[in-house]
Amino acid sequence: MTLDSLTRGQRCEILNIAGPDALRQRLATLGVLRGQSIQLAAVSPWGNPRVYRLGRQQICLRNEEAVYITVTDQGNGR
Amino acid sequence: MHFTVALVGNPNCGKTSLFNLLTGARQRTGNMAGVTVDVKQGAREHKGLTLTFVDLPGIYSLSQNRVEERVARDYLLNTPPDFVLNVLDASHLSRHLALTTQLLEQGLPTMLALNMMDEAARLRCVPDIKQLSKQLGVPVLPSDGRKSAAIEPLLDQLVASLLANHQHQASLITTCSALMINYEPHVEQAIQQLTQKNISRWQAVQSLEAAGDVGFPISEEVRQTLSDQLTLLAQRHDETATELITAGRYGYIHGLFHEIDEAHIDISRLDTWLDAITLNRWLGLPLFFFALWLIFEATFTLGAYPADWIDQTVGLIGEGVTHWLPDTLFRNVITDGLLAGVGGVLVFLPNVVLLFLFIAILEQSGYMARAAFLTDRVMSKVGLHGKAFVPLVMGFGCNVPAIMATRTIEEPRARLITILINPFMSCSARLPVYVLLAGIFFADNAGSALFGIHMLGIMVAFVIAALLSRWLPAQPNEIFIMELPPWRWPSFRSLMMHVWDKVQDFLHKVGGVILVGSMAVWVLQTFPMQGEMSFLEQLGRWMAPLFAPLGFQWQETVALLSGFLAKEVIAATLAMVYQVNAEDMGGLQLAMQAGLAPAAGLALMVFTLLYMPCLATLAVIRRETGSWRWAALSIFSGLVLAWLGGWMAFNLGGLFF
Repeated sequence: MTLDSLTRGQRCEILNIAGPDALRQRLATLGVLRGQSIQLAAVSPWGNPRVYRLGRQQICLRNEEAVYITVTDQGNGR
Repeated sequence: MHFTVALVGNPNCGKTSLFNLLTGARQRTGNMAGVTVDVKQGAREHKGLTLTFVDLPGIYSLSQNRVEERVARDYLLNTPPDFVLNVLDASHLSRHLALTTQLLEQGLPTMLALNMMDEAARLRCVPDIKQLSKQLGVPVLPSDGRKSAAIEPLLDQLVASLLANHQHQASLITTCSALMINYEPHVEQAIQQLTQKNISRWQAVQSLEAAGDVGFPISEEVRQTLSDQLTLLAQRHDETATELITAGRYGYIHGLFHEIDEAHIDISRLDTWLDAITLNRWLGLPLFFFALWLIFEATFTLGAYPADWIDQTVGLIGEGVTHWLPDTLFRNVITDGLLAGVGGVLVFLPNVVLLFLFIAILEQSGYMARAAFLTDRVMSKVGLHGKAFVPLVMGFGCNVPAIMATRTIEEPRARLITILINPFMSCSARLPVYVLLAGIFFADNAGSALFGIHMLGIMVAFVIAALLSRWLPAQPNEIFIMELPPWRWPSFRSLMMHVWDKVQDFLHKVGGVILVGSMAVWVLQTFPMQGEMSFLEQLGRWMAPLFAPLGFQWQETVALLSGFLAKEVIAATLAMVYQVNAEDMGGLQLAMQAGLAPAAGLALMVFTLLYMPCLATLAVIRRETGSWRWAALSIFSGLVLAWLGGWMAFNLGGLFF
C-alpha cells in the first residue's frame, strides 16, 4: 500500500520510493530512504497534508507526494 | 590578517543565532526553515585576526537546485571562504552529518560546531565529540547560539585552524585530505568512469547526485559520460543515483557512531503532547485563531498601561512648554506640531512592541511551522505555495522584509502572488491607527476589533490570491516538503534583541519620516494665518467629496493623504487636526468621537488596512518583481479595494451602530 493510506499512529516500513526525480532527491536528502520505519503522526483539518514521523524527525508531506511512497502492509498500531 | 569563514548547515540548525553572537549582528532568527534567504556578512576581531563571517541560507545538500541551495553552493564554489564553519544540530546528528560528508568530500577546510547540545542532553543522545573529531579528522566543538560563553573556545579553535591552514598552504602541503566514502559498487564504477575524464572524485559524486545540475563547469565529454552512467545505473537499480549515494552517506555516518542509536530515541513526551494538541485535526485550527485573538487582545490591553505613561509624560512636557515659553509661532510648532504629531504616534510604541514580541515567541517556539501545516490546504487552494506562509506572517511586522523573504518560493507565479498580496497583511505601521480608532469606537472589545481587522486583511489577501491565480498562467507546482521543527523555548536574549530592534526602528521612524510628516502637516495647518481656512483644510475640503460616501470629513481625508509617506503618519495627522484644543489622548478621543460616526471610524480602519502600500513597500515590490507595472497595480487595486471596503463598512456598520 502507499503512504497516504496509513491510519493515524500506524507504523510501517518504506519499501519503495517512486515519482519524479526532483521529489526523490528531496526525500533522500531529508533522510527518507528505503527500509526506514515511518509513522503517521498528524493529519491536517482537510486530510492533506499530513505529518509523518521518521525517528525523531517530523516531516510534512502532501498526499500528492505521499502516493509515490510504497510501504509494508502489515503495519500495526502503536 | 584577514580571513573569511562561511557558516554552512541544514535549515533551522541555529546558524543565524550563532552568526549574530559571533558578529554582534542582529539578523532575524526563528524556529523554522527558510528565515535566512540570502548571504549576510559580519566581521569580528579575535587574537589579532579579522574574521569575516558569512551566513548562508540553510541547505540540506550541496547537490540540489533550489534557490537557497544554489545560493550556498555557488557561494562556496565562486568565492571559496578560508574556512567553513559547519553548524549542526546535535540532537539530529545523523541527518545533519550528511551535509558534512559532502563538505569533507569536497576537501573544504571545515570545522564542526554542534548546536543544541542541551536538547541532545535532554534526549540522552549526547554525541562523543572527541570520537567524532578523530573519525572525521576535523575539529568538532560544542556551541550554542544563545550563550556567549560557548563562543570563545570556538573562536580560539577557528583562529588556530586558520593559522595552521595558512602556514601549510605557504609550505605547499595540503592540510585536509578529502573524505572518502565507499559507495555501492555500481556507483563506484560510475565515479571511476567520470574521474577518468579529469574531474575530481567529489565533482564526480556531486554530478551523479545532482544529475548534472552542478555549480562548476563540466565539459561536453564529461556530460556525455555522466548521462551514459546515469542510464546504466537506472537499468541496474530501482533507486536513483541520488538515493544510492545518500544511502552510502548514511551508511558511513551510522558506522561513525554505532554506540548511539538515534533511531530508537523517541520524541519527548512533552513534545508529543504539545503536537497532539496543536496539530489536532479538529482543535488545531480553532486554537491557532484563538492564539491570534489572544495576541491582539493582549497587545491592546497590556499596551494601554505604558501608553498611558508616555501620554502623561508628553502632556507634562506640553504644559511645561506652554507655561515657560511666550505664545509665539515657535511655541506653537512645539505643542501643536511636534508634541501633538510625534507624541501622538509615540504613545503606540508599547502596542507595536508587544505585537512584535508575541509574534517572535510564536516563531521561535516552533508554532509558526505548525500553523503553516494547518493552513497549507487553504493556501494551496488559492494558488499559494506552502512556503508563502513565512513571508505572509512576516508581513504582520513589516511588508518590506516580508516581500524579500518570498525569494525562497521558486515558482514565479506563486512568488508573484505572494508579493502582491503581502501589503494586505496588516503591518505594524498600521497598528497605531487601529489602536487609536478601536479605543474610541470599540472601547469594550478593542482587542477583538484589532483581531477582526487583521483577519479581514488575511481574507482580502486570499480572495485576491484566488483571483490572481485564475488570471495568471499556471505553472507546474513546486513540491512542498517541510520539516516540522522540535518545540523550543524562545531564548530570552534573542527575544529581547528582537524587541529592542523594533523599539529602535520605531524611534528611528518617529525621528525621521513621522517628524517630517508632522512638520509638513503643521505648516499646512497653520498657514495662511490671516485666511479663514488653512491650506490643509482647503485641501481636505477639496478632496472630501471623494470620501464623503465613506463618512469621512476633511480631517480624515488629509490624514489618509499623509499616510502615503508611512502609515504611522495617519495617526500623527489625526492627532494634530483633532487635537488643536485638546491636551492629551483623552481629549483627542473625545474630539474624534464627537466628530465621527462609529461606522465612519470602522470605515477608516478598513481604508487604512487596504489602501496603497507605503513608499518603501512599493519600492521593494518594484525591485523584486522587476517592473513598475506590478507596483502600479498594487497602488491601483489597493485604492479601489479600500474605497469599496470603506464604503461597505460605513453602510453596513451604519445599520448596527
